[in-house]
Amino acid sequence: MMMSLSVFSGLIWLALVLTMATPVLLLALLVKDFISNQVW
Amino acid sequence: MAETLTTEYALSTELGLTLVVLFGAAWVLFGYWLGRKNKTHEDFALAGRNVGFAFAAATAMATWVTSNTTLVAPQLTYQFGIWGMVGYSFAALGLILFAPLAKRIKTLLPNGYTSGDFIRLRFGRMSWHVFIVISVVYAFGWLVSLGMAGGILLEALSGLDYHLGMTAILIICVGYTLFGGLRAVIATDFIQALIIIIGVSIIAWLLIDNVGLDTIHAELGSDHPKLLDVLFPAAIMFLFNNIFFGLGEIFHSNVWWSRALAFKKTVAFKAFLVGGLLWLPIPIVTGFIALAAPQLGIFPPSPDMVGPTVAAGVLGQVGAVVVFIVVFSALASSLDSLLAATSDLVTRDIYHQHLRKDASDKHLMRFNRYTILGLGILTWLLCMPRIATLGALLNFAGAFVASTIFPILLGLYNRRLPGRYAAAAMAIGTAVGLASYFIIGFYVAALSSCAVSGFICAIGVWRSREQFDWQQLDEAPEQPVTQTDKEQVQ
Repeated sequence: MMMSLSVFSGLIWLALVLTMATPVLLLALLVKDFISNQVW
Repeated sequence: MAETLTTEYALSTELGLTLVVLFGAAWVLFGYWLGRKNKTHEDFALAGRNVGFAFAAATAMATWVTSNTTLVAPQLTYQFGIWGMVGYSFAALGLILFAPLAKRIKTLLPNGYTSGDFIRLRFGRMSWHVFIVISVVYAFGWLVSLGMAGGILLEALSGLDYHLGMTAILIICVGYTLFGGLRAVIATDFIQALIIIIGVSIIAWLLIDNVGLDTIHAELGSDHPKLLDVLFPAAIMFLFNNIFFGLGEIFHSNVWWSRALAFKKTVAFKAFLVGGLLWLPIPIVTGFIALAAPQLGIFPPSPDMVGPTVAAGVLGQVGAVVVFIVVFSALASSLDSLLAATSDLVTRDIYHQHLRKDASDKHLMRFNRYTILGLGILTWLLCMPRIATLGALLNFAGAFVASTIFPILLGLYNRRLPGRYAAAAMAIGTAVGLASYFIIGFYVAALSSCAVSGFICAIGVWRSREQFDWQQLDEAPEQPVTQTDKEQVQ
């Protein structure tokens, strides 16, 4: 059974959007740790 | 087009070398700068046991993004299609399920150093010996796979000799781990995580923009329908195998235990959970890149180079530079972690516990550094011949590590599993996994190893009358050094 174009596109776009959001989240967490002096 | 891509290099050798030297110098200097804060062996090996949430989540994710995610995920997608990339992404379960274990480890072993400490205290010497063999085989399998990937990458992208590229990446990673210890490893992981994610996103975005998802789907549907088949039996078997392989890798490896012990107690659980969730989509993005290969008429010289070859082929020199930096960062983020964690295991479990119980803190820190250097040299020697494709090397280790899943899990949560059953589960599970690897195929090695080990553990729990006392895991820290090193006195 072959994966349809819509499912294929949805899977790739979802993965890409989630991946692109990661650096923003990590930097926000670092800033939060830095402000509360919790980096190390 | 295929001819051009397999015979010309996307980067000039000079540019490849320049990138290596620039990145290498930056990482080593950064490691040196961070290493100035290391005053004790605990600082060096466990970053003072006080790593905050941002660094903790980033290092969990970045360490799990290895050469395998950037080179093997595309390779498996190229071979197994959709299930290759989805199956690979299921390895995130290893990080996610390790989250509660990390919290438990911090509670039960507040003064622990390594995964070997846990096995020794929980199951005794016999299990510890089996576990150390498994850990060493796995560590070297992974180290060699990473070293080889460095050489293969540089050669494929810039034509630089395999041996030269492999030597360069080993020298760089050994350099900054040697100076900075786990603190340098974790801090560089954060930056490497950002580089990897941004680079991978750029490549995938440009690929979609240049080629189009509908074109890729149509080409695969007409010429390679198996790659879009959601009922591809070997690929589904691979998916389950990969889940157990990922669990085994993370549950047993000191790379992850040393992180659990290094993180602040309040962040250990959520750091692994968030790290796993952040990692989950990455193999789909990197794997997808390989699906464009047939459409583009790209047939890479070896399957594990399909990702970089497609990216470089579609995006030209800029794409090649991005690929180079991404894979280089992915390699470094895992190689440094493995060097640090394996040297801790050798220093703590073998040297300190078995050879020099009276070694001072300063002495242990020095020995740890020598071990990092020694591991680097040994890895270099093993990488000299290109012995296997990265995927094959990786899956061979699956037979070993999957046998540790149930002993670790039950060891942490169940009082009844006796040491002799844990040892038998790991030894027999590994043997059956290896037999499956050679008789059936790589995609069942971890599965069969885990199943047999789990069965033996179940018998052990069922027959046992033991009630292990958790307090035995909390070894008191060594007495602080009150005078100069013993060896200096002597």
